[in-house]
Amino acid sequence: MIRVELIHGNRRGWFAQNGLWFSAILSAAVVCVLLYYLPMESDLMKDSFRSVRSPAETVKHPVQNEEKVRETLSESSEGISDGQGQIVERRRTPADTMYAAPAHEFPVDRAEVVATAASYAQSIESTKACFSAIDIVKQLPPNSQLELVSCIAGRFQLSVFVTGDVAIASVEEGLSEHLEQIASTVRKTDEQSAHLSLSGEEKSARKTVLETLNSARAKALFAEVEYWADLCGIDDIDLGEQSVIPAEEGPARWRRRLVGTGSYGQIQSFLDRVSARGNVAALGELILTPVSGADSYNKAVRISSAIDVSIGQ
Amino acid sequence: MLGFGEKTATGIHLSGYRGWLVSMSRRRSGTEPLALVEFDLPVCANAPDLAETDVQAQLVDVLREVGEEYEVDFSNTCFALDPNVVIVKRSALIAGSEREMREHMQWEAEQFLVGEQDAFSVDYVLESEWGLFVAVRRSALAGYLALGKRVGMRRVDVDVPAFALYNAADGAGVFSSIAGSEVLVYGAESEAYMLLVDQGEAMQVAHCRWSEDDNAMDVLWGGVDRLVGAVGGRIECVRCAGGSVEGWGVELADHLQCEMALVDPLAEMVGEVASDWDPARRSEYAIAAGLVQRGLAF
Repeated sequence: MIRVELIHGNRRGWFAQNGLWFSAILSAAVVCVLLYYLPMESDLMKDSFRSVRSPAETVKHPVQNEEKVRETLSESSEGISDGQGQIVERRRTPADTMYAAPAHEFPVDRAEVVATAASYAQSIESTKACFSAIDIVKQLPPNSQLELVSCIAGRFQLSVFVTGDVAIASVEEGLSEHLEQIASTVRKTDEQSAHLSLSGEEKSARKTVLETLNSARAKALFAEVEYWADLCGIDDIDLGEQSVIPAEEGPARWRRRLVGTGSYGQIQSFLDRVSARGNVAALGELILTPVSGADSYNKAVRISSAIDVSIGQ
Repeated sequence: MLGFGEKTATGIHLSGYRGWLVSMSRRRSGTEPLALVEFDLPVCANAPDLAETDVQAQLVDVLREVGEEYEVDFSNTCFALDPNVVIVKRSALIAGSEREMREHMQWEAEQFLVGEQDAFSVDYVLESEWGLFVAVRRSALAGYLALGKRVGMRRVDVDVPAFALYNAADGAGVFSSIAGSEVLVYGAESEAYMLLVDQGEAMQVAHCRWSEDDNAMDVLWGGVDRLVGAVGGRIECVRCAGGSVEGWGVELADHLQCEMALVDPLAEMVGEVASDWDPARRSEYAIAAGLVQRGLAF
């Protein structure tokens, strides 16, 4: 049997799936024991009740616990403000609502991303921001190693590992050619290296209204997109299944994901081909993750993209 | 009144303007179907619309009506998800413990859903050499939950239709004899769910949909061809279920040059309900019956 838990996500394993039965049986056993001992061992029960603390004693604990929580919070907030040598620099533009994520997490305002994605799903316009992704990667300093770049509806997020000094101002300055509202966080991983997380909006993002296609043309276009990827030398191509992004107003979108592995040059030429058909197809999302491994010299980057087309009713 | 050790479950499969409901009871003597109902829907049951109050109200009325007429026990009910809100991706597994493999699948899913992980509910199917990660938008799940609560369902669950089809075939004892690659296909009025199975293990999931302007067979063949590409087109058997299955099932088998078999979800059942139906008719309830298998196993 295939079983995935999408609603009751924590119900894996024997106890999780039979926990209710187990609890019920255990409770019944406890009740039986109590019923057996109650009439015969009333003294024992009395002793037990005597050993319960008086209300005056018990009310102290919540207060003490609350104080402990306050102390812990105060300690932890000091830890953050002191930085404890971990946070070197944290910069925010006034408009940003970025939260301080742990070192291993990407600093994303999740609510904002979801809201952006939702509003994008309603839109019949297409932003062309994602096509600049590789230009933006090229702006990163030479002592940096890209871990991830994503572009969703004109919002860029980069995660970069930097060895040596982190001149964040110059990084931001270099990227300001393409991005605005840049927010960045740097965390020292050790004396010699740091982790830079950065997000920003595409500067003067161009938008275009997609022409609507009928279903046959849309399918042909998706097949063409897969062919372009192959032609550009991208390997391990996987064109995902078609999904429908309904819109409250206007035409619906069809989306298919294309993933593969290639060099920056191969991916750029694929993006150029998609961009050339910008009147009918949009790059809804783009995620680039460098591939690690011995054979990654020429095939260095994994691309995950979402190609959208607009479908007439 | 249920006896000791007896359990009932109900599966509801909605596709377009049609619905199928199967309710079964598991006793010591075996699993017995209690009700098999096919019914019309007043609205198209797309997952994104389920959250809309008027759509929900109309579906609630229909389900309550069916429930009352056929005395359906809705306390443990599972819905088939609209395939348009489900993402299923296959990924090669790394060597390691199950925990490490799950972490790897989690990482794969994060790369795919970057920035939107919190908007999705994700789980994994781990097979011997690969894993499938399954992601569904939480907003879509909320629609099914809300619908279930309004109908009065105590426990609401959901499943991917292709996995329900697998479970229905599994319940019918199909996978005890499988060697090589097979495709399971369920055809509804305007869509089909497909699952590629290799050596009894789920390998890839696909879904295709057609409109009135399309040739349904062309769309279906295209979808199946892409799916079987993962095993170089070598298929031993196509197992079919759904409406008019005897017609399109044979054509599909000819196209794939393989054997064709029906998925009869009631093949291993006891009892009188639907016992005089032919297997093709019973196969229309395969998805709903697969959902019940899940509910009875819980």
